[in-house]
Amino acid sequence: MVAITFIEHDGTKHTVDAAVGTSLMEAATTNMLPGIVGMCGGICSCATCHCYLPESWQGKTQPAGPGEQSMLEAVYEPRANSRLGCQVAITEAMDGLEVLLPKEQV
Amino acid sequence: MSKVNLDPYDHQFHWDPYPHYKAARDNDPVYFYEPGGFWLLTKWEDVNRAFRDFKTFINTGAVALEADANEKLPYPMFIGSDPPDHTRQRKLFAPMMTPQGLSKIEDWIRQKAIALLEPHVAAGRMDLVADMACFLPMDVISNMISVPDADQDKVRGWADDLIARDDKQVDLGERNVSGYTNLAQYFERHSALHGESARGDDLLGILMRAQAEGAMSHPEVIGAMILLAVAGNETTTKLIGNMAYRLWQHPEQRQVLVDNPSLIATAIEEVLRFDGSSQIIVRRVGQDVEMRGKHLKKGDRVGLCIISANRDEEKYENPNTFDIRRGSRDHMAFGFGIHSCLGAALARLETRVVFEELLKRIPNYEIDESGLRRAHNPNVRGFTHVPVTF
Ligand code: HEM
Ligand code: FES
Repeated sequence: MVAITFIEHDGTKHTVDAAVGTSLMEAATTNMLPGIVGMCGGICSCATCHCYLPESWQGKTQPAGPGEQSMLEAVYEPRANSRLGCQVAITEAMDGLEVLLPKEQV
Repeated sequence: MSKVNLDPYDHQFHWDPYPHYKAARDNDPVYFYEPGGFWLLTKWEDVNRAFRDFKTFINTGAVALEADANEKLPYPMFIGSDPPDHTRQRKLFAPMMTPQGLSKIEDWIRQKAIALLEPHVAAGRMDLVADMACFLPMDVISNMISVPDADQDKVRGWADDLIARDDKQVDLGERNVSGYTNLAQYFERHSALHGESARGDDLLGILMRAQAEGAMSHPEVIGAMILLAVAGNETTTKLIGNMAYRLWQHPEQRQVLVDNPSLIATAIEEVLRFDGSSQIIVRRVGQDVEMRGKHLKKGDRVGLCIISANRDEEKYENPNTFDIRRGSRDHMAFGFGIHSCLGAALARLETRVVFEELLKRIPNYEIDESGLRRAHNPNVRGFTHVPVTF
């Protein structure tokens, strides 16, 4: 288990224990956190698991693939560090990661 | 309250359930269905809550609405499990079920769809479900789990047996159980045959590797095969039929798609919302909960009426208007959240390809309404026969 902190748009922090191998979206939805929806359950079809990964952590994840990149075009307020949480697999190296959540999920 | 009469086991009900669902939403939205002994949730908000609050509304022990389903259908299917067991299994399949993961079979699906349509084009008549839509989804899923062509009719027949319900049949009958047993025995043989060799990146390879590496138990693998054969089959067939029917009812909208095939994907979302092919999804109450003054007790069975939620006037403007340009993606035709349909992108792909090829060839089909026939099941809703001339 690793600790992942999700930070809502208004600054509210939620820290959860997440199993290595699950996704950021699963870590949030299986703890029923606000701010992330995960409507399609992780098949990269809804873009309601949008989150921002701090630059300092980007090297610790695999980059977004083409399917994820095209879905990211549709999210509310995309940024250079936007990711779909369902496409980011949690690894041991992510212990302590802080993930920012957008104001709205489309 | 007496005005409300929801009966998902009444065959007549399936022809036009929407006014009944509206009456329920207006008068008794958390409805107790006496003959089956379970609750029915009809409002978008309530159904959505049940999908999200997976600890209060659990999938363990909720394989089907019927009280006796768990004893009679013993292989564990991951749809009937909760986190973390559910997450462990589902995540094995998710990468190949994304639009990107499926793009490599689009051409294959198109060739299959064309091969099913072409022989009928010159005849000027065909049955869009019995001659085409009933074959394609099983073809696709069979291909993904390496069921040979020669066995497909058998497997489809058993899948049909499993879901068929006689009028007012609220328990699982002999035909349902034997369909299930036949599927289980077939997949036992199938996995014995491929267990050592299949390691590809298709569904069968994923299943066999998961078994070999201990990520899934053997009964879970068989359960997953049954689930894929059943879930990936009828619902997609019925969505294609429902779409053909609604476009025929709205010829001016059909013409828009003929002229602009790029709008077909958006139109599919509206068919999913307006006339989805899955009616009721099942949960069990995991902890006592009160909803709109009703007390749901731990262990109670609950049906989430997604086709009612998708017509909720508190959620959608003019919900009973069919508008292919509406483009709402927050309908729950594929469920919502952690159990949301694993095959949603596949079903969308198949349906899009079918209508791209169909409308190109027979843009002005006429449906012979007297020939329409329906399947009857509390979940799957749609036609078995849609005869057309053109
Ligand atoms: C139009 C076609 C389809 C419709 C309307 C549909 C509908 C649904 C719905 C509403 C659920 C949610 C169940 C729940 O929350 O308990 C679901 C789950 C599922 N569907 Fe589909 N489905 C369709 C096509 C497919 C296809 C083509 C496949 C093939 C792979 C498939 C495989 C599954 C599986 C495996 C689940 C269980 C997911 C889980 O529990 O995590 N479905 N489907
Ligand atoms: S959960 Fe749907 S795209 Fe991530």
